[in-house]
Amino acid sequence: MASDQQKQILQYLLYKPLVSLKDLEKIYAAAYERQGRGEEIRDLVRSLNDLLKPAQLGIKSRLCEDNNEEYFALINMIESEAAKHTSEFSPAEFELFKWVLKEIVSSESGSVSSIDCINQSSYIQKLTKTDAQKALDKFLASQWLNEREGEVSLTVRALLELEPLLKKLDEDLQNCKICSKLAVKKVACPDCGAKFHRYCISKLKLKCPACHRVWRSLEEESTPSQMSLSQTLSQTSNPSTSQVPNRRNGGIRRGRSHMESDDSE
Amino acid sequence: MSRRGSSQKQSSQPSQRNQSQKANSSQFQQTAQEIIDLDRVVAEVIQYFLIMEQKKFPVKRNDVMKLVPGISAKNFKTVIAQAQTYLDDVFGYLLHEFDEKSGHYVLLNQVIMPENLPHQDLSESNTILFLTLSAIFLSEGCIGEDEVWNMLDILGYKPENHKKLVTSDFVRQLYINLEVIPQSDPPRMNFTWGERATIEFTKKEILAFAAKIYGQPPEQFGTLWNLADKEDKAREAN
Repeated sequence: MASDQQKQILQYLLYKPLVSLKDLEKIYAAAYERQGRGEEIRDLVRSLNDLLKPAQLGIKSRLCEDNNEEYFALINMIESEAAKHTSEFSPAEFELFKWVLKEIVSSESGSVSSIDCINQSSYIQKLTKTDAQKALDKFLASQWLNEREGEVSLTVRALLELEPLLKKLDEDLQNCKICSKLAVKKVACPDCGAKFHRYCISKLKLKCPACHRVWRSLEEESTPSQMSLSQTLSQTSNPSTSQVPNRRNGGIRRGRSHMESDDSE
Repeated sequence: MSRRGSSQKQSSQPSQRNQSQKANSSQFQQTAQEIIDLDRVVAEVIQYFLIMEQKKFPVKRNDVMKLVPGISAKNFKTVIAQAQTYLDDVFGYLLHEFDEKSGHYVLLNQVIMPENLPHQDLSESNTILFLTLSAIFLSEGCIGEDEVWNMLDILGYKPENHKKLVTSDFVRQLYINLEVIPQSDPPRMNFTWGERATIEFTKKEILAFAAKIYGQPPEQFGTLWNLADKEDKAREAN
């Protein structure tokens, strides 16, 4: 039997299934009328999960691939038949959604431009450009996707709840070899090709745990030509501040620059 | 779970014994299967109710029978009862069945949410809903559509933007009933309160809302205040 506060929090999570750790602290404070101490938040999640078991729902958490902050999501633990039929998306919208997911997971940046998403409507029956824009807004509002600087990527909610679907859409999709969580925004070791999150490999000071090769910088790719370019550049300057030319979309890069400067610790 | 009749004794008629043993053990398996699956069926029903509640759509018994795997006429009552208990114990939702015959349900929220913890979009559609319900109530329970469109227009809600919400969504959600005025040409409609509005909102609540709009205390609404008051007393008596 749930307490009133637990009921309130669960109802909130039904409405907004994806919350950051900071959000969760605010939610705790709103329900219990006081700040929750560290372990109390974890205990709350544990007790809510016990309550949710008979409904095959659960609150899972993981780090966001963009900012390395912890997010919690109320997700479905089963592939619910009824849920499939009550989807908030029309068939055409769902087709666009799957296309967006596929584009995201097959890209290394883990993102697709919103313009491409809108233009994809040309290939989908019964979906005009306006419909596509509305659909994209729906995906953002229901917390499946994020958009930043024109690039659309997956939220933690999508990473947690849609993992089986994502793995079906791209067979090459793997878990990060360091944290074992699904890696959609990833980098690959130039030697052995193992996939990691940027944050994860940075924490290991750029040393690949699989083959022990130490990367010179996060910009090293697994294709020889790119590698020699970065090697050349890093040989002529301090490796920790190597100005490897950015080959990726400027929007993605900008968000990472603060982290890359951390590499020079 | 009970083992029905299976025994370890050797029999002088092995084939018959084996037959009955086989039948008993497959009965046992079937029972185990049914019990395991029942938990899953209950979970799916719970999820279905929760999803539909987010949209405020009523759940129809027929849809539950169609969409939830493993549900049958035999286990329906049990499953619904378990789902009902769970939804109340864990989420604070009361499962309300409107009509034994028509078999549709909604979830009624029993939990008072703190103000800084919203649980639904307190947005435009809620405001329009309350405005429409107020208008109906102030019109003694029945109002023509044109008056509603006028009212919304005056308050800044352009009818063409909100027609679908009022005549389609609110009707589907059972907040509003539409009735075509007989022999009206072009056909015009009357609005009345839907059954969901009747159980979800008290007349006092709607009157309080109307009072704010008109800047007049609820007690000054004459017969309507009396109606609201009577309803309150009747509820308390129950």
